[in-house]
Amino acid sequence: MNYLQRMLAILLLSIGGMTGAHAHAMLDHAEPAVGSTVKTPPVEVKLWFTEALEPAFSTVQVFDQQGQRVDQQDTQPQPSNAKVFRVALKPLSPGIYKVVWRVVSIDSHVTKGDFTFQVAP
Amino acid sequence: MTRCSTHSGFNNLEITPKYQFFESDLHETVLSLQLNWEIGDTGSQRVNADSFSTWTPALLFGKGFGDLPDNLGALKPLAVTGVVGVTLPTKSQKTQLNDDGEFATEKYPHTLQWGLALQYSIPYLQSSVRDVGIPQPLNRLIPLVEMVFETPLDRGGGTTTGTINPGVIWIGKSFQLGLEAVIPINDSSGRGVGVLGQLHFYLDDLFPHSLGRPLFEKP
Repeated sequence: MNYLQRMLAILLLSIGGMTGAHAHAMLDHAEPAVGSTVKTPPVEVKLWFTEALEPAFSTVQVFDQQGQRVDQQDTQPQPSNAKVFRVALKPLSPGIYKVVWRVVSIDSHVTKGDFTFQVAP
Repeated sequence: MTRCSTHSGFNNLEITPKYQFFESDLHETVLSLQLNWEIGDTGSQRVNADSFSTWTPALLFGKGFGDLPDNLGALKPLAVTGVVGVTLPTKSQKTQLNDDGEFATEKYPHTLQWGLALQYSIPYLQSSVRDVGIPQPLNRLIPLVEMVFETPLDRGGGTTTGTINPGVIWIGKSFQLGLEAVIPINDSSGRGVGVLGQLHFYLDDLFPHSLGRPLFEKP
């Protein structure tokens, strides 16, 4: 692999929003699922990451279509699993909601991302 | 009959400072400048490491398409990255005796190095667009096409050479694997299709308390 190819291979993974050129904490899956439509308004958002997270520096926020926060600002890890984070929600009405997460893995790397889900009874 | 032999040894040492001068999270865009310095005469003659230094300033760019409208959601995991640089060898030519006892001159032209890579990130699809339920290990695949070209600018450097490399990368927790076909764009670039493999270890993840530790930390 020559210089340019090596540079490209490294660069191309450094963009795209979340993966990076390293295996930093990535979102594995979520509940409600990424891009899903749910009939029953969820009472919380739960995120499963690929690495254990540092709770003090990791946040999950949820916004409605007007940009108003609809989470209870109580992001916390699951006691038995530092890879799982949850945040409680205020009562949701039908609409599209955006989940914005920013986390710090225990090896100090910062990653962030977002996704939407829809409530449509 | 041609006898083949294997050459091994270190190539020249290279140092590459890079500065990212633009970043837009909203539009998933980054722009960086870098300067590669291949330090002459630091490698082994057995692998024909150059005795002179070469400087290569380059512009790198990356653009993700996560800002596309939702009705084009399937295209959001696409990203394009690229590089444009100029190699500036500190020596223009070298004259030496060849195997036939005759003087031969080898020229070192300035060259334009340019390349493009197009990728489709399954991890991005799963975590930012729509969880379509792709199971492990397939949910960590990134199909891609890389295009790498080199155009001599002077000193009789000849025609543009390069390859088009379709392949796939798999991102693991502490390493990544890559496999690409290497397709030459013309006869000057090579004959036949080659294969390029990559095993890339994340040293800072493997050794978080030594190599992965920040150089400067707040007390």
